[in-house]
Amino acid sequence: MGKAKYWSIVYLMVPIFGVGLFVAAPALRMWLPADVSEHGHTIDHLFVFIMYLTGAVFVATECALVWYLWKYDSKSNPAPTKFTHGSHSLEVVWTILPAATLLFIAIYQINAWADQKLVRRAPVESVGPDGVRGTADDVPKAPIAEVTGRQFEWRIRYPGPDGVLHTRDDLLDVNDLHIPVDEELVLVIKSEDVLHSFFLPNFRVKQDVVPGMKQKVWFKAVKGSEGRSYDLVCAELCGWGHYKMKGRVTVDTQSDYRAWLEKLSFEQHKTSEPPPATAEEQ
Amino acid sequence: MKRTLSKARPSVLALVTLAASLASLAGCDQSSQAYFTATSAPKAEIQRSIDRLDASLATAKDEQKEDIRTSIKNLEEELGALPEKQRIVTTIVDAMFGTPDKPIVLSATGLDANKIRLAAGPTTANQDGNTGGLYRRHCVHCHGVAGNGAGPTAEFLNPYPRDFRHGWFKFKSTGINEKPTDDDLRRILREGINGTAMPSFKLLPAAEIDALVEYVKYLSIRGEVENTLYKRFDDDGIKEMLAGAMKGGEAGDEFRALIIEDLLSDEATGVMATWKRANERIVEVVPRPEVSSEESIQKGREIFYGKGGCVQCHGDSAMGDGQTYYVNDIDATRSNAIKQLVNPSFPMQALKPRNLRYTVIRGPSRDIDLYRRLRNGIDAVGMPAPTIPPEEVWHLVDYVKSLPYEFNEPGPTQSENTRAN
Ligand code: HEC
Ligand code: HEC
Ligand SMILES: [Cu+2]
Repeated sequence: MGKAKYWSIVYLMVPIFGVGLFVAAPALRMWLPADVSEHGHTIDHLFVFIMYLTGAVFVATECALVWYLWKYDSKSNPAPTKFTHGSHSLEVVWTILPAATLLFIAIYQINAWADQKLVRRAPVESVGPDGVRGTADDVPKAPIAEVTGRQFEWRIRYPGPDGVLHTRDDLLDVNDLHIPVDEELVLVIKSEDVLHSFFLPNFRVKQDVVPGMKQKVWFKAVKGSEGRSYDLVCAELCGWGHYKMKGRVTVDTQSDYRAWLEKLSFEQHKTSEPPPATAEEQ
Repeated sequence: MKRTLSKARPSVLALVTLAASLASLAGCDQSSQAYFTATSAPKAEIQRSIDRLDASLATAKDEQKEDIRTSIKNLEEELGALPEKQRIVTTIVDAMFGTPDKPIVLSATGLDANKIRLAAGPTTANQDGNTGGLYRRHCVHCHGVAGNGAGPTAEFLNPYPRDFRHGWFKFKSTGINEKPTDDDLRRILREGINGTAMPSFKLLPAAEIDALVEYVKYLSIRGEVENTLYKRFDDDGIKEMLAGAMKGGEAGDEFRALIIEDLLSDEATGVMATWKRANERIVEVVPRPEVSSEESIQKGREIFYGKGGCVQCHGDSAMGDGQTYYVNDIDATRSNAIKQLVNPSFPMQALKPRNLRYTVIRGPSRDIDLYRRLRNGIDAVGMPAPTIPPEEVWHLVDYVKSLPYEFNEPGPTQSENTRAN
């Protein structure tokens, strides 16, 4: 028996280390960021479900791999390998099993996807005369802001008092989005130049921003998240300054939110400014 | 035994590769010294003039040729003398101001050495999240180590990043030919310049923004002194001062003190004079005339197409397609100011009047910012101040703000839910 087979133990470290890292991750504070959205738990559930599923397959294949490495090292198996032309039934099994699993996942997640991505399921102001949601006469909820990604920042446009985007009373800001708590809300996202991805990790929202397309995302910040700020990042490598595309989402109470808009409006329209402090005063 | 070793090789190789790539990552920071090109600009500029004269020889009349040849000869002499000039100016400026990495903060500049220390030099970070080398971390790849607007990403941008060394700024609350206030620079860093590559640094802590502002001023002052020394190199008096300042020891110190007094501190012409008075030169904003916004827009339109003279540049359609525009080229009209905004060694870029129908206005775009910009023009790019009473400027503000939406008032909301996606 040669010493070479001990190398297989190095390969065994891969699954051990991999699984160990997952087990230790929450304690190392490397797990998912706090979820402060209403729908986030469905996304997390899917994540954890798929992780266990793939985790089990991963551990099983790694064990089989290492076992073969250990058992069939060349020193203790001097006879040359015999090749076969494969096993038909084995191939059928390893085609059907993954296919069935993938199909199952596809069906299992279909509602989570539809709720997040189908414009028909976006929040509505009213369901229209026919009283049925998801039909053509629904009145869609007006977006509370438009967020435009550009290399390398997020430009934000609130509709202003008239509630309509792209009119003269729009309020402008950059990298600093404020949203009201406990309200189903819609954002319009756009790109000014290249592909970006609008990612709010704490709200479990991620949507690629495609140049030339006007897209919508919707979510609800749960009670208890108000008064705090969360990350807004770009999740699509969009150029050398991609890492700079970091903004902030602050969840406000309804009254704080209104005060914030008023402050923006005041800043935008004010006609005088206090003189800057002189050197002595500073 | 030999067998085992040969089998081990791939893993050893992998480890070595990993170590090497980590090491090269760690080394990234040091290489920035390579684009320290504080004084390469004059050479490119002179060379460009020579090339242009050379080209004109072919079409020139015989009696002009002699003159052109003399000019070329003079320029070539200047080019030959340049390395020596550069050596002297660089030595003296380094002795006075330090290098951008290891700044010396002269008391004559009134800058805060602590703030500058936070912004200068290689990037650092400690466990508590305190960071140093802020300028290199955030700005250097565009604005360059010396603030010359020629960092490695600069050439791909339009407009080019600002060359701080000439002391020109576009977005300021102060009057024509004045410097921006600290508040103006802070606002630029926080808001960025929409419509250009200059990003927003809104989420940086206030202390870091302050440090960066102070450092921009340091680079700008250092660069302006450097430029002035070049420009006045052959002047009487300056020559002697420079020769003296090159000496070591106390004698040299005395001459350097003279330079500081003459170029920096002089109340009338010193580089510091404009920086120091910025806070007193803030443009007064008069109250808005009390008319309805529709009326104000209408009045603004009349001024825009009439006595304001905006049409000649911004065009009948206000889309920036008027007859007049500039390029950042030394020979073009009004060129000097424009050239000074960007690094002169870059290829030309047309400086077009803006399309005012576009919903993005460059730079801070609060009403008060637009008021000041339209009252004074944008001196750095040659947009003139209109000759109208100060309160009428408000009509221009209202008109300019309405331009993107003039033909774009929202119609009835389209139904959006019919798409069965
Ligand atoms: C992606 C490139 C880029 C980066 C990074 C960048 N800038 Fe700029 N900056 C520009 C460009 C381009 C302009 C010129 C805009 C114009 O001319 O309208 C500019 C202009 C400026 C101006 C002049 C504003 C005025 O009023 O005229 C200042 C000051 C400035 N930048 C400071 C900084 C500082 C400080 C940093 C780092 C914290 C920084 N910039 C990072 C590209 C950049
Ligand atoms: C001599 C030509 C010229 C004239 C006359 C002129 N402009 Fe401009 N204007 C420019 C240029 C060039 C720029 C672009 C500056 C830049 O690139 O930052 C500009 C920029 C502007 C901007 C900033 C827009 C933006 O997005 O950056 C406004 C607003 C503006 N002009 C309004 C006016 C108005 C109103 C008038 C008449 C009172 C006027 N201009 C007259 C050349 C001119
Ligand atoms: Cu991006």
